[in-house]
Amino acid sequence: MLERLFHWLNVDYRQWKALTAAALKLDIRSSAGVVGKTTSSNASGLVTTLFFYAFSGIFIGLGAWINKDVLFSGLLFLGFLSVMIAATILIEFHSIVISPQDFAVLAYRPVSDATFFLARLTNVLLYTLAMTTALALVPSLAYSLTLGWNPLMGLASLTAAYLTAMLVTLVMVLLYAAILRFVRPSKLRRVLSYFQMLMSFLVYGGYILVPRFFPVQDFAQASIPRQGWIYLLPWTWYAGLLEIASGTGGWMSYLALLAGLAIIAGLLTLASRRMSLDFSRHLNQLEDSAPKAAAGPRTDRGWLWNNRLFAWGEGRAVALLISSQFRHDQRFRLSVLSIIPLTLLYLFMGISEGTFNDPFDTRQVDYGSDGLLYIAVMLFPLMLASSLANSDSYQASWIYYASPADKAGLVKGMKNFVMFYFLGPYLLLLAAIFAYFLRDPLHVAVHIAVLAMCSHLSFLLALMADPVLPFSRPVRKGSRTSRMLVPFLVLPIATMLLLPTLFRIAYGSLFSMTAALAGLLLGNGLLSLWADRRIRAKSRKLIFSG
Amino acid sequence: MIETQQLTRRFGDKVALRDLDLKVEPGEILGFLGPNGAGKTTTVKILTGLLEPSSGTARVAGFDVVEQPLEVKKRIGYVPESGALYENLTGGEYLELVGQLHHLDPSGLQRRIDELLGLFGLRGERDQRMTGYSKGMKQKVLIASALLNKPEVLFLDEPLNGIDANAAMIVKELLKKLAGQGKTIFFSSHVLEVVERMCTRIVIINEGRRLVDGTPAEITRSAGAESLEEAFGRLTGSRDIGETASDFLKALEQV
Repeated sequence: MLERLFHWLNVDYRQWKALTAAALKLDIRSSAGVVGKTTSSNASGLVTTLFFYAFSGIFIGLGAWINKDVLFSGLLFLGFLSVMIAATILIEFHSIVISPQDFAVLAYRPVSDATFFLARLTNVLLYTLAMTTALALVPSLAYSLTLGWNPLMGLASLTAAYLTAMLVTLVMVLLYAAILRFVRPSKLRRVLSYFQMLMSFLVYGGYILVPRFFPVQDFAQASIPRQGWIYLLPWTWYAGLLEIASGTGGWMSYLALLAGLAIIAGLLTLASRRMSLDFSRHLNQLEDSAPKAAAGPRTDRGWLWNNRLFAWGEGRAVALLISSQFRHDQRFRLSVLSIIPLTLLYLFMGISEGTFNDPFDTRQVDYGSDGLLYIAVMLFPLMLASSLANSDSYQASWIYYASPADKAGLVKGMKNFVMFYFLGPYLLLLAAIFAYFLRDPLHVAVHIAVLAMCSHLSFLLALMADPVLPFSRPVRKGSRTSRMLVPFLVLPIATMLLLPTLFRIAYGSLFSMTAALAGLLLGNGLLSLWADRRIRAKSRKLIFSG
Repeated sequence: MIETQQLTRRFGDKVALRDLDLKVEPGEILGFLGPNGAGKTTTVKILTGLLEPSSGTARVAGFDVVEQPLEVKKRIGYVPESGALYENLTGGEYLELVGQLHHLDPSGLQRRIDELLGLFGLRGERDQRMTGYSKGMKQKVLIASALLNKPEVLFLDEPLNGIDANAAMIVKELLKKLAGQGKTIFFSSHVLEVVERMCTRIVIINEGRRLVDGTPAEITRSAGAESLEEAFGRLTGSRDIGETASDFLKALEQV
């Protein structure tokens, strides 16, 4: 029957099956980091991501258990799920959608566009639906119990989650497809970058900002009005399933669900026409349209470039590499650009209250949204380092091993580059904001110095745990999400706990401030020395991944 | 067979291929020669459906490459210059995937994979992922995948890159036998000795234009040279080799 359906869709069933199975094998193996017959010690990024999703589901499940308005909790659940799926596609799976590798391998095989599309879509959907399953497990159990034992509710919540995931995946795939179809290859690089930034703003911004428009005082009693506008939200279309299963759904719930199903069917049809091998061909043409390098070496970059840190040796090599990769490596560029909106949003949230809590006012006990600024300062270098490590160009890293370069020097060069060119400007921006609110240059200078040293400390600790050479590891599916999501969970908590305490102790008096600054300076110096030895020892054990 | 008429491909302002007329009959091994950037790979990419021509027509195995690309792809085998493979698959799995894409009978396919891998001495590595393969081993898998569907037309872009002498001899012998069976073979390479020994006919192109077309002996004679290598140098306007090498040395000494 499936074969007949595929035939009707003009899809070759046998080819679809072979392509899907191969893609799955490739993804699982690449995610697990298995090379040849040697299994690397890295845990599967995909498993970590799934675990994170399942863990997040516990909070959603709690919400569904506490609040008895199933439409309200359903909206929250499906809204959160949408953000997670969209973020994962943005960070991780845009490469599945726009993989140029497929073109190189498959373009001369007798595979039709329709077959390629369906195999590609199946591949993306398998991931997003696996993540949905992980996230929806606990909530579906909670829904089965929240209004008395009703397994239908659990089933309805699962179905609603799958439909939402499908809708989000299709929308994202179609947006990428539209860009690749309508934008000329010469402009593709720039447009994709802007698109990635815009989507990051929408996804993370929605996640952070939307709850602010719906302040909830008492979550257990909170409810959503069944007004017309609410049925315009895509999540309502599928959350209505919960109302239907609980026996409280009206005709609007049925109508919204039907509309939601029709929209998925419409998007599927649209996607099947838009996404094809032609799609990969466009991306492949990026190479032909890549801006040509200027003739001769560039030597006139000024002090910022020619300062002592990056003037020669490993530091210079790393600086040249990172800046060139940023210009020409689409994946690296996109992953860096997707970090900026997130940190800017944190920044915005931190100052959106109109006031800024003076960290030198030691009577303050609650840093509230200001804390987000500090989290951003701590997170930014780590997220960037993760984007720097994994690359499609990892096979070119043989040069580190074949040249007399000092590998520890390369790791340190990468750290210095990130601190100097990424964290530096970010701290300058913060300094301007602090100067506006604090109006005390000494306070601003001290505060920025403390933040810079704390960020440097956390970055050093991360590098000591896992020293990595720039662009030296293959991209493994799921690894980016897990690497970004774990710091998302751990670092903010650590930052919110430790930094206010540090501020309170350090800014109590001139003596304690001097002592804290000296302590941090000494701590950074000592840790740098220790890190130097440790990174040196660990770097010797690094092996070429190609 | 392969037939092109006024085949042209532009990349922006640059013309990579200009009005190429070509006809390769069944049973022929055509050597396609030219210096770097001459348009060889562009030609192969158009003929295998990887790239659309800007103008002109091309027919492979009786089908138009633009109008009926799937029909063409069913009937060709291709060994690309920069052999892209799904390296996280094993050699056996990759060939199985290719066989499935060509709708080969599953039981016959396994036998054929075994035969081809055995031919290249890779039977023992059949279940190893290709990430652990050497460059030559990957190249052998690519050649095997190009032969898997018993193609009518075979396109080979630098097929002997990285493979050992024994395997290279096998490939050369195999290609001759395939031509003997009436297959059309399009052999693009820089290695003049191999082309000279293997190909029944040679076409040399430069800057997207066809310069000469004939047997190795005819080309050597018409260029007034003593060897194909010398003829190639004269036709493509390369500088005096000794002088170029001296310039290189001077440049290295300045570093």
